[in-house]
This record gives sequence, C-alpha cells and structure tokens, in this order.
Amino acid sequence: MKLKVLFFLFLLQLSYSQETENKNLVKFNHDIRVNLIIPSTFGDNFLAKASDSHLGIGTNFSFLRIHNFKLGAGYDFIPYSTTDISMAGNIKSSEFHMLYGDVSYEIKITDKLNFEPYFGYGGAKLKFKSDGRSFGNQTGNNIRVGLNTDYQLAKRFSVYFGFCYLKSNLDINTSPEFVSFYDNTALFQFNFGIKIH
Amino acid sequence: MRKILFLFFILFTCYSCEIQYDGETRLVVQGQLVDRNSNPIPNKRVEINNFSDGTYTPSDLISYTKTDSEGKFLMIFPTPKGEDIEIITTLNGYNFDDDYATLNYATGFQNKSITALKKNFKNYKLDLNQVTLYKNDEITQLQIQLNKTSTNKTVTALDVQGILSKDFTDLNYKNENHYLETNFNVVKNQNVRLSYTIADYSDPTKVVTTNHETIIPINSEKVIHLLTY
Repeated sequence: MKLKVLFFLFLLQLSYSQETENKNLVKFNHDIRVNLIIPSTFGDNFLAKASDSHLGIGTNFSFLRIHNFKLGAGYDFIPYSTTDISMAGNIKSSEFHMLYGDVSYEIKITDKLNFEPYFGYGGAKLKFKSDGRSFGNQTGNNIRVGLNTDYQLAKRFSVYFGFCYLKSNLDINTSPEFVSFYDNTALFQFNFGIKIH
Repeated sequence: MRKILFLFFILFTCYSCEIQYDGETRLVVQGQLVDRNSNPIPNKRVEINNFSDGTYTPSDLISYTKTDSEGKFLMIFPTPKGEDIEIITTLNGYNFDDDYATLNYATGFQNKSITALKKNFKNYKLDLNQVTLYKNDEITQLQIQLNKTSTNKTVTALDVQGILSKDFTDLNYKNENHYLETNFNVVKNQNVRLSYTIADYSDPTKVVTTNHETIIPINSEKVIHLLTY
C-alpha cells in the first residue's frame, strides 16, 4: 500500500513535470530523495535498551510547492537486532517501518547549496521477526523534525546529508510499570543520499 | 498441478500449526529462586516455553534469562494468541552455556516447571514470588502403597503435608477424575502428615466416610508406607 501511494504520487508529478512555466500559487514539484539512515536510538525504551540498530533506508517525494514550502511523503525502514532476550522475547529482530507526510521549507544559500528544514507526521509499525516468522507487531504514530543540506552536482541531481529527531508512540498492553518501556521510541537519524529534482 | 496444490496444502498446514503472537500485548513473568534456607540462588537459567494443544503440539522457546545475584528473574515477551496456549516456566533448566563436565546433578538444585494459562496472569503479569528449589541430595521419595482388605472400602482422598519438592506445578490443575497421587518427592529428615479419607460402602443406603491422619518419619532413604484399609 505504501509503495502504491508513493508510485501514484510519482506518476502524478511526472504527468505535470513538462510544465516549466507555471505561475500558479500551487505548483507541482518533483523532488525525489533516496537515502541511507544511520539511526541513533536513545532513551529508556525497548528499541534503545533491548535492541541494536543497523543501517536503514529511506525515501521521500515532494510533490507540491507553495512558494518555498514543499509538501511531500516518505517512507523509512530501520532494522534492529535483539540484544536483551529477557525484555524482547526470544525474537531475533525487529523492523521499524514509518510512512509519513511532511512539509519542508527551501532556503537557498548559494546557487548550489540549499538548506531544507522539515516537519513530518505519520504512522509507525514495529514488526517482530525471527527466521522469517512473524511474532506480531506494534503500530502507532511518529513525528519528526529535521534538516537536509542539499548540494547540487548537476541540473537535476544533488547529494545531501541531514539529520532529524524522530519520536514515535506505539500501542502496548502490558503490566503498568512496563508500559513506558514499550510505548515509545526516540531516535536521531543521520541521513545521506541523493536527490533527483 | 497436484504436486503444487499438495505443496500449498502442506505450507498452509504448517503455517496454521504455528503459535501466533500479538506484539502489542506483552506478558510478564517474574519471581525469585531461593534455597531451603531462603538464600537467593543466582545464575540459574529460567526459560519460558509456549505449548499449543494442537495435534502436532508446536512449541516456542519464547524467552530465557538467568537469575541475578538476588536470585530474581524477569521476562517480558509477546503474548501468544489463543487462550489454550500453555505458558510453561522452567526453573533451573538446562543451560546451554554449562559445561557437562562441571555439572553435578547429585548436589545440584532440582528443576521445576510451572504451567500457566493467560487467565493466570493478573494485569498481564504472573508473579511467582519466591520459589524454593531443593538440592537433589536433599530430596527423597515417599510412596504410599494402598493395601485394600475390604471390597466395601475405598480411599477417596489422600494428601501429604510437609516439605514437598514438586517438580511440576499446574496452576490450573483440576483433579476431575479424583486420581489419587501416591508418590511424592519429599525433603529428607522431617516428619510428614498423611491425611486420607476412607469411604465405607457396607451399607448401600448410607456411605460412611471417615478421615484419618498419621505421621510418617522421613529419613534419608526412600519411604514406602503401607496404608491398609
């Protein structure tokens, strides 16, 4: 479903991408970002204390522009491996999936250098797996605030790096003294990747 | 085509045999291991296995840990779906890290298993509190031999009170078949109290039941007690 939505938005922007002179307030935009994620999970919660994070992957597509504001959607995936079986269960890994919408603001520093702070909100799903077998999942929402720094290498191609703070709330039913350990995650993401625009 | 259908059938059958889990609900099992003098027993393996009551009885080792320096243990794990899944906590189970050569079963602590269902968890937690483990060389057997001398009499209840070292505890055990347990693991060097009830059917119109008690001394050897009625 997530991929279908992104694919639809991608086709939508392609159909309008030929229109170079658009004087409307709302313009279709076509920024596609693909990046690697270096996550740093912290706090007194399940992912920080009972798991180790690994290199993740993310993608983002900005499809509308109003002045310098851009509206987009994205998807992040971060794998984790279990380090504390007593708190996680005898389950080898967790997969953190996040699908979100975001608003960013483009700040042009030089002809080739842009800053792009953004704010996003969306859904989160934490899947538990061991040897390809599912051990259930947790769902919830996530909120993110971050900044990307783009450096243009060609007319339609940039590289970028950025970071964001990401907070997720997850649904959980357990003994009251452990609810706060399982109902949230907090992490810093360091992203680096390419942007096609 | 038949082979493909058969393959799908096998895959579906295997999938449906697996225990399913709810990742948004987590159960907690906690407790403390102590010896007969209430001293904590550290560094002992405690594990939880889930068993379904399906035809092929699939099971999952869903969690394991070791007791800390105070003998305490805590495990939190996803909840199996289904009310009939048996959640078995094994105390002082086999530790894969242990070296066989260093194990001494004669002087080691007993193993103990506690079987629970989800309904035994209060607010998602099963607190086993203090569980006493006895060393194997502290335990002996008591066997009650029933010696029936009258066809009109039968033993309807039998209980042993004292320091027992049960290897298995089922929190939902119901003796619906009125099975008389006659073999007990008991701690050495104590006196245990044997309570039993005898029903007399000599008068078909009126069943007479009488309660009895007797003290059985337990020393270091296995005890066979003859119960004549």
